[in-house]
Amino acid sequence: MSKNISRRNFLKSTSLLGFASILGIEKIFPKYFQRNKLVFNGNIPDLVAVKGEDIFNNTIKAINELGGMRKFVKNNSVVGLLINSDFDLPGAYVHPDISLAVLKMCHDAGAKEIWSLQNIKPEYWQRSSVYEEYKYLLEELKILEFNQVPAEYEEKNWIIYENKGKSVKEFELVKKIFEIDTLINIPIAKHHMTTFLTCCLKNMMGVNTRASNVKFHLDGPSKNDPEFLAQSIVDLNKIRKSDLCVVDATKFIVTNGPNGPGRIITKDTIVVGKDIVAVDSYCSNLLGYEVDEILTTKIAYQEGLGEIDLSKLTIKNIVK
Amino acid sequence: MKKINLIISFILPVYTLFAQVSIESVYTVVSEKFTGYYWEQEGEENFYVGEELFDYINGGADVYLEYGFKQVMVAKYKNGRNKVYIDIYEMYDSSAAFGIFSLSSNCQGEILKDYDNVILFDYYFLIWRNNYFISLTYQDEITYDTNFVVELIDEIENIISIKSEEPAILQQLPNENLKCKKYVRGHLGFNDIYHFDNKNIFLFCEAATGEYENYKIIIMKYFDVKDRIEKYDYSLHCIQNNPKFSNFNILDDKVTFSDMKNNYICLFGLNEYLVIIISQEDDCFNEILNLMNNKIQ
Repeated sequence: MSKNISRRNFLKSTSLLGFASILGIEKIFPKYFQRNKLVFNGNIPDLVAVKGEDIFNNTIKAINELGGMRKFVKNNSVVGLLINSDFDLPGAYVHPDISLAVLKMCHDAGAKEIWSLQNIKPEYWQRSSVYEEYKYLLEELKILEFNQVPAEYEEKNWIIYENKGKSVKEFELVKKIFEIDTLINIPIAKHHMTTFLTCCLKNMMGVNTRASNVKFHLDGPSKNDPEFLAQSIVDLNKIRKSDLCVVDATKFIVTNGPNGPGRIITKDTIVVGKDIVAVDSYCSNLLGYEVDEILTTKIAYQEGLGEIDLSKLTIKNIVK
Repeated sequence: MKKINLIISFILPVYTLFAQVSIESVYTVVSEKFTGYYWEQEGEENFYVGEELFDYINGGADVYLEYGFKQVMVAKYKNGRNKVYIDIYEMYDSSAAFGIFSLSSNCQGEILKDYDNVILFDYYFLIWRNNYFISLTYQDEITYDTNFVVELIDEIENIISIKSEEPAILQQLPNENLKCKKYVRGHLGFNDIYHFDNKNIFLFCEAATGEYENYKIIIMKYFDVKDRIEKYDYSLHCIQNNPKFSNFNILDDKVTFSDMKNNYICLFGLNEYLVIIISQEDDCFNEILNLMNNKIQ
């Protein structure tokens, strides 16, 4: 069930825009065409949200609606998956069906290597409803086992990256993020006591050492400074941008985040998009926040990482 | 013999009353309760002390540190395919433990009958006893037996014999129709109640909040009246410069305004306290102001 576009309007717009594109009129009236991107781009929206209970297939559906995994993962390419899997309590970690669906799609798209940029415990995968069917895929998944709590710096696997932004002076980053062709960011949208929302932007802290992450929290003008933390997250996201964001908004905690236990809300939704700010902005609404309240998203928008205003985007909401 | 009697009858109880109960002893009680019900420990128990808490709960550590966190002992138990996660937090004092207990329960859950220091949720329950905050969470949202909780809390109360006292500032909240209360020691906890600003604009020593049917009261305590007046001026300046607030009406030590979610807000000073009322109705302020005046003066 797509959102509010009638068949008559859809046909009218596609014919007009198709004809116009042949004539190259879109270059003369760029604003008009920007507004109608949904139609002009051959139906590929900026953001897709699929609602339904079949988490594995809905993830595949969402990515296909965004143009398919081949749009992001080229044949023989190297892919990095950043999955928020390390929490144990309900509503605090990404449902493993989502991670397996992404893994399968990367495999089917012809990826040469697929890396998990953080360690993942075997029991995480075993919680999946499709584990038996797809566990063979895990044999192909290479895991950066050293990137697990407390994730300490060692020259072999980490790189010190000088930050030219306004926050921490340097990051200690997993080297692998500079060796992959595609970075797929797979967080769960959930509550966080300091940032209110943790989603794609904050999930990038998973490529940092623990010591570096603690600096985000404690090295600001005062300890636990929300502005310093948000700015640090934004600066980190500028170094290696995510190519695709796949968010678990199926069941998540809305209190006591990020670890829980907390009140769980069920939205049964998978959200995917290329624009990290847009995806976080959409997810902040799912958690009941105005996007203005989420400082990380606001700063990321101000610093050009993406679009915060959902009315400027083409969003395809599908209910299955 | 007389000396021994003296020790038994006087010194020993006094010592017991004031002795700090170690986190290991609390853990032993919890652990024995689970093993008695055929739960089996999975892996080793772990300790995280001070800022090591970031290694355990990541960004969740901030607010614990703000309250005054000493250490946590964590363990996992399994019973067939079921798992339970045990977290025993030792805070620096009883108020800090109550604070994190009140913030974590977040005005939800169900208070265990006859035990106002235990709150039950669908797949977890929270306990506060003196300077300990204990959280027990069942994986996969499995429910638990309330009788088990009662037995457990009785044994915890046997070992932590000092009765928990709520922070004194909570007594400044009007009792009538009070649905729930929280205790806050800093900016992060405060933001979880109402988000005025990303900056710490109120700079209080401690705060309490009460939730009522149609409104919320926040009371912030300062060193003295002079300190409170300074902080009132500073916070008002910040609020007036924040585009999310409008319709200001300022009268000496009191200001009313509204936010973008159609909440009416009143901020005023009373002795060494700053009080905030947040309501969906604009006509309730006078009534609450009178209540607060009676309570604080």
